[in-house]
Amino acid sequence: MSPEASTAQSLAQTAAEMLSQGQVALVIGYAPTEGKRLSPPVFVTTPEEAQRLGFDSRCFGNLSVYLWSPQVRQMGKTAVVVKGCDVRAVNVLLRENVIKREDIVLIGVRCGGVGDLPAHKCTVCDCRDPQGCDVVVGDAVDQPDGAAEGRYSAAEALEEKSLDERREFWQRQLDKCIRCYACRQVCPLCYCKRCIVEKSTPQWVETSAHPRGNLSWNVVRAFHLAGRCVGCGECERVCPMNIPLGAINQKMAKLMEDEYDFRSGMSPEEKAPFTTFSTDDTDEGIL
Amino acid sequence: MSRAMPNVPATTDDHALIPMDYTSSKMRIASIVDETSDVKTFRLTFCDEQEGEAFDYRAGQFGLYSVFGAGEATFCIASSPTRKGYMECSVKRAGKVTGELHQCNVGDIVGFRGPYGNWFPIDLMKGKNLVFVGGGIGLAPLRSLIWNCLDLRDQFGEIAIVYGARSVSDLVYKEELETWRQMEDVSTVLTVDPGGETPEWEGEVGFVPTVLEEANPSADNAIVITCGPPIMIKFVMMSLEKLGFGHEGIYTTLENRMKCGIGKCGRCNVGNLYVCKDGPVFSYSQLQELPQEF
Amino acid sequence: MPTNKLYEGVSDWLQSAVETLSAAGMTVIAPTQGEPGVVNLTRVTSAEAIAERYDNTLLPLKGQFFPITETLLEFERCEDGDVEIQTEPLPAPDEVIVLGCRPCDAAAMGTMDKVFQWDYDDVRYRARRDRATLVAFACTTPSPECFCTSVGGSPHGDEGSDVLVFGLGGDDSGGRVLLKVNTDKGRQFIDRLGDRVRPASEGVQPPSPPELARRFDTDAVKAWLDEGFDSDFWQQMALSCLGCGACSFLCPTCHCFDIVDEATWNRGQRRRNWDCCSFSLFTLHASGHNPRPEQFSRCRQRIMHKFKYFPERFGRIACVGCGRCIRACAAGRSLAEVLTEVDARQKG
Repeated sequence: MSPEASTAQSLAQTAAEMLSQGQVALVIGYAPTEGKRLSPPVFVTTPEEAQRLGFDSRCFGNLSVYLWSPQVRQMGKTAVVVKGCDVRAVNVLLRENVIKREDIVLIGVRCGGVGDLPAHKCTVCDCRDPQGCDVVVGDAVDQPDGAAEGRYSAAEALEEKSLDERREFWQRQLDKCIRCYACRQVCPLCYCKRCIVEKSTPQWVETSAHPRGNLSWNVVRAFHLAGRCVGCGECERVCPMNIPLGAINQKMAKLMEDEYDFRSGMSPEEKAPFTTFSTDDTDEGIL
Repeated sequence: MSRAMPNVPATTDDHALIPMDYTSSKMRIASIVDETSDVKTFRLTFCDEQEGEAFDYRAGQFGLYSVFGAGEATFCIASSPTRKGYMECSVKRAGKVTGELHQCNVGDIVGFRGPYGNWFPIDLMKGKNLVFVGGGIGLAPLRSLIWNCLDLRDQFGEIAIVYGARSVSDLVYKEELETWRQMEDVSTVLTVDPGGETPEWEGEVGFVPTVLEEANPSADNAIVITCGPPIMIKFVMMSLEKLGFGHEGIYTTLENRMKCGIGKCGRCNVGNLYVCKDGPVFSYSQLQELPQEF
Repeated sequence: MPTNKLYEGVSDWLQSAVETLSAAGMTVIAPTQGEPGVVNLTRVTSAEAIAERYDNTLLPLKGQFFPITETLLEFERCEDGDVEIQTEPLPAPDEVIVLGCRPCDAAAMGTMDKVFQWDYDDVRYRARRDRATLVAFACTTPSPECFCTSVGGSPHGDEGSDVLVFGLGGDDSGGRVLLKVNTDKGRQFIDRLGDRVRPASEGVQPPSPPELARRFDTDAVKAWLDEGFDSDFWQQMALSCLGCGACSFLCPTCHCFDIVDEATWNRGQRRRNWDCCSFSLFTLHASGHNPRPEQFSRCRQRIMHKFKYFPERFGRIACVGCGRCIRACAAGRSLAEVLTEVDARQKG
């Protein structure tokens, strides 16, 4: 049996058991499908349907985005299949009290990287073995060597450029934005009920897809993820206009690591620098 | 194709296309009346006199009003087409444009484009007994029609008005309500929700559907025109059924969100209709055939 | 004037066309590759810039006529309290030749025309349409997501285009071609190309279109939709939808828009922007009431509008099977699969 088939079997077995024992009402996982570029999410509510679950290198999606969806929540206790990198997003959701640990079951899956040419995040991954899950399936996988070095390579490549070159680069990239908000909708951490771009009194961000509106939107999006983004890369993957959003996220993550020795989502108990107040804080900052 | 409408404005089939550039006409605020704590009535006159003279509309139609810089918003025309030289709209403060409108003063310039949409079936109403049932700000479109009918009083049978609001202070057009109450050929019943009355309140206390049933208007040769919050409409329809009114003789006006007002932007699409083009006025039997997405 | 509807173009016809048309003061819009793998319609002044092989442009043709954002009017508040309004002038009447859209995108303009030219005639849309000639390049290799044949189209469909070009060599359009004239505008285009094209020899026929299996039957889909509004199918099928606008914005027939004011203290613009029925705010009233409060009702609306409401209203489906929504979907959702499922439900 191929490693993929045996992982699929474990996933199906695990999910079927959870569903038949009434542990959960819903299992969200991946359904690898012949001929598709992406193994789409599948929402399994019966042990029989659990056979559809599987895992392969096309399981790009970070399924934790569904954990706070109202439709999913009303279906009952939910188990979700997560890669090690996805767990980081779950950790932030737990840290920010968006979801409760007792309301979810985490089925971790060991992942050797996604994409035909592995995605950048996979080449620098240090969490292929999912941590903090209720169950972990799949064969052991190796961590890439020297992952930490290349972690912020896209941001660093841009840092090499002059200010003018960077401005020109981002102007060109952000001009492409069509304001479909796929980046926001796919982000597990963009859970605001009403996004700031949808607030009209006052209109903080112009909604027109002109350079001014696009710059405001993309900067606001980035800032709201500063110190929170876990680098799952979903925003960049789904951008229909191929805007390299990952480079912006990397830049922020790099600053967080350099300045605060902090990487978001490494554990649910972590204290996030931007949302933690301490009276004996000696660092200079806003407060 | 779309199902036939009794009072749908002409479409491509039988008239030339109307060129549309989305430009607003300038109108000046002639007066402002504070109706309630969050509703104001604006009387507007066209800055361009010729435009004002050419302007014509029918009760039930709406327009896109704008505060330049804040944007456009849709409201019905609340004044009667029989009253020439001005137009009125009543605006509840709820969002960006309405908030800005409430900040405006007499003399300020606002934008208007319209009139759009269909209208109340006033030709069908002639010779009939009319029952107007309104709730809260929902009286605004009815007011246009009520004055329209009152100005042509001899063309209609009996006229009954049942109107209610949450509280005495939420009643709109207070002076006109008093005028209607004192008219001998109009029977006017006013009510406020339980708890909304004041010591001086002389009207009914109770929800509109209940008060309507107590008023017990005859369904014979009658047409009902109702407008109010969705929940009120739902119960008013049940009351009307009890009173023996047929669905085809009941009309209401919808307030789906709109941006263009001319059947293009897609926002007010419900089933194969556009509320802005095929409505906003619908008979209850038409509404029952639509997906319940309004 | 030649009456033959088929013309042969010599191998440098495209080069010559771009030069001739540009020299005559026309704007030539053609598919170009900006970034690796991304082809879009942009203005060209030489045929070298034109992408030779591409499935389709990333953004649909509709944007040439219904831009993603456009000014409707400008306003300025004067010190005396008056407001100056400047209505945005109509687009310049210079002729525009779109040289190389795909047949599906050209067909989609029929849907757009219905919306923008019924009852009220959208003057800016009309002006852009009137000045444009659409020269479509027939598809040789539909992508896996394409399903035009399921919605009444074809990789060689000529609806909506003024001229349809068939490549006779390996390329889509670069080498020798057959040009099929569909309209008077198309004939004028041919006339401008001079000796680079000539009436096709007797018996010459366009190549047969590539195979693209039909996946569902739109009549069956419509029949199921007629009764299916309240089906629990919608909740299931919509679960993975994230509610972004990628499918609508890339769709060549989606036409919903928003109108917004953008202003500084005393001056600003009223603009029209693409909008999308998948967004939760699309139908939200200021009162807080939302006629489509859940994502499934918005997903249902999108499908109902395209395959039931629009055909009932305007006599045609609002989908041309270009597959962009499938390629763009963040969650790997497929409209074709959904409709295949609907078709199967109808047929029991």
